[in-house]
Amino acid sequence: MYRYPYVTGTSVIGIKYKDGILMAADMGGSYGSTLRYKSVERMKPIGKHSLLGASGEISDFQELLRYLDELILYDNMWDDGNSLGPKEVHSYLTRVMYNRRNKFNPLWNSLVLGGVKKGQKFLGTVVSMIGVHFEDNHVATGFGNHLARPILRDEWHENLSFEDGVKLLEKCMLVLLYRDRSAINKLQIAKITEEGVTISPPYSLKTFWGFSAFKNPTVGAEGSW
Amino acid sequence: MHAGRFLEYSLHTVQDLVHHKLLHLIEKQANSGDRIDLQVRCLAPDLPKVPFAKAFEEATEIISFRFFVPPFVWQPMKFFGVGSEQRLKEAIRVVHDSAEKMVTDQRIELSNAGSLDDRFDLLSRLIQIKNPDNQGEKGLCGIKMSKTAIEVPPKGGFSFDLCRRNEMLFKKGVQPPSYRKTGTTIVGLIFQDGVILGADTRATEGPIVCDKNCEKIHYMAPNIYCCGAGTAADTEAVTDMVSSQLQLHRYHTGRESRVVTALTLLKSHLFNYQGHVQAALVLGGVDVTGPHLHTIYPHGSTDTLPFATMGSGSLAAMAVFESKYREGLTKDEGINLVCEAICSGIFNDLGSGSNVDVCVITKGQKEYLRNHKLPNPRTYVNPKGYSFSKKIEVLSTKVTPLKERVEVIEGGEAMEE
Repeated sequence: MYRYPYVTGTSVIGIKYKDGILMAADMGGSYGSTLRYKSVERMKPIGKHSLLGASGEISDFQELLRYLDELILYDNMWDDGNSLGPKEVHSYLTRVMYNRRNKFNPLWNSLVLGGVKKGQKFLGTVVSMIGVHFEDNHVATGFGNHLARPILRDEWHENLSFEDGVKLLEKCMLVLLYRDRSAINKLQIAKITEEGVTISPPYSLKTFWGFSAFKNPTVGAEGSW
Repeated sequence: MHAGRFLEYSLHTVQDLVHHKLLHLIEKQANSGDRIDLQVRCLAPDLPKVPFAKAFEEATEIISFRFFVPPFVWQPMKFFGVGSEQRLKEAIRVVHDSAEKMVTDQRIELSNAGSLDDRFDLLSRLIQIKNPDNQGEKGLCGIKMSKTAIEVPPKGGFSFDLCRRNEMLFKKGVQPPSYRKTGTTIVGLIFQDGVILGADTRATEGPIVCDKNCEKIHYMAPNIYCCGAGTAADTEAVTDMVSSQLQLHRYHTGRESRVVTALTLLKSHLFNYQGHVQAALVLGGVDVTGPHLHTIYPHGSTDTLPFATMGSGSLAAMAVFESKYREGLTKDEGINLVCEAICSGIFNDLGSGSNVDVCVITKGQKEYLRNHKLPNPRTYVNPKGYSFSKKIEVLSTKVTPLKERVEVIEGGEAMEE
């Protein structure tokens, strides 16, 4: 009954910082074990106050964007001066995911939703296609849970500055680049504050392969095979 | 295996039984008009009374009678040779005689035919091997007693009898017993003077923590230590085995062991067992060629690395290493980094927990820091202690300090390491 995902994106990481939310995701779309698409934008602004990042099936992410587009459109048509904030969008996403799974037709995604409304920062995640959700100061999907969360638990603190936040995210993305096979070295960092959303242009991280032990690996193991 | 021959044999036997025995029997019964009673153990009423078989059955019956009466009844009977015990003696004598006769017959056949190679039973085989002297007779008689020694095709190789039973049990929902796994975080790194190994101390059995403070850093040689993850029994056994092999090798060569020796011994053993010995190891040490750090996977492949992590908490620990490792760390920085990595495993992985063990190996010396860090202390201890309910009274107290019973002798010969 479950379909299989075809084109998938890997982890997304999000953290709260002094002025709002910072989110990072790479731009790879894997087709099974081949890296087919290298310019997939996996983070999109939703309305005025929210930013959505997704991992998992890309087509389901695009479908979600359509649902959210409709939602925001109808909200704007009321023209009552109110707009949907991140908490509301998060709640809507959870309902959509959970109801789809109850009908055995899930949207194969893990989502990270962050935003600021009226000074209140919100960062939440819909963990899987099953529809579990929670909020925290730092969230990640997929491999990010195993590789980035430990670093974030140790080094995150309240009121990170923008530069520190970006450095922390880059540290996590570097570990993911080294150790997640479906990660690529082309990422975007997105920032959302009270003023609005900014998604950076794609860039790469600097990697280091110069350990002396890597240069001549068998020099320490001569006589073995 | 001899599946083909076994099939042939079964076919022949069944054909034999049907043609020569069952058909005759049914014909006879049809002619005589008697009813056949299928409940009776033997259908044919007029089987030749083989004295051996009859005596054997009688003996078995009488012995089972022994179980129904208390010993003080049948033992005097046996002593005096009265009643059922006398018949038992007689029956046993008949059985022994028949067995001896069969053995002697076979021997005669051997001397006549020159060899018993085409007879498959155990007796023929044994007669051929043993020297023909009377001492073997009793033993051979004993073997003859067991019915399985008679004319059965030989079974070589592995006996798969229990596999079908295990399958059947599994289908019925009976779970096989689970192994005790160490569900672990183990790490190693190379710093400027040598190698530092680290491990957590939790051993799990499925969802239960079965050992809160176990030792996962195993001794291999005075200059080589090995951390183990996976099935606890496998890691212990394999490291013990290779450690003894290394010791023998040291006696043989008169030199300090090298890390590659331990590496090769471990990987050959694990590869031989094709991954069934589930031991994932981080091997580190300092020998004449310098400091070395290797990881060994359960299937037998190895890696040589500047920093390594294994076990269920390996991703959490690797995240710390990848972001903070650099070359030329000092000893204190190295120990700190190892502790951080293990703590990352302890707090972020459910299979790891409790305390941090560290082992620092440098040229010429090693420091085994057991429980170097205790990040999970027992913070609350009930100050009142445990009070028994009022219904339980202490009648008398007697305290015998055990130390007085043990004599400690100073001196004597110290045991080798």
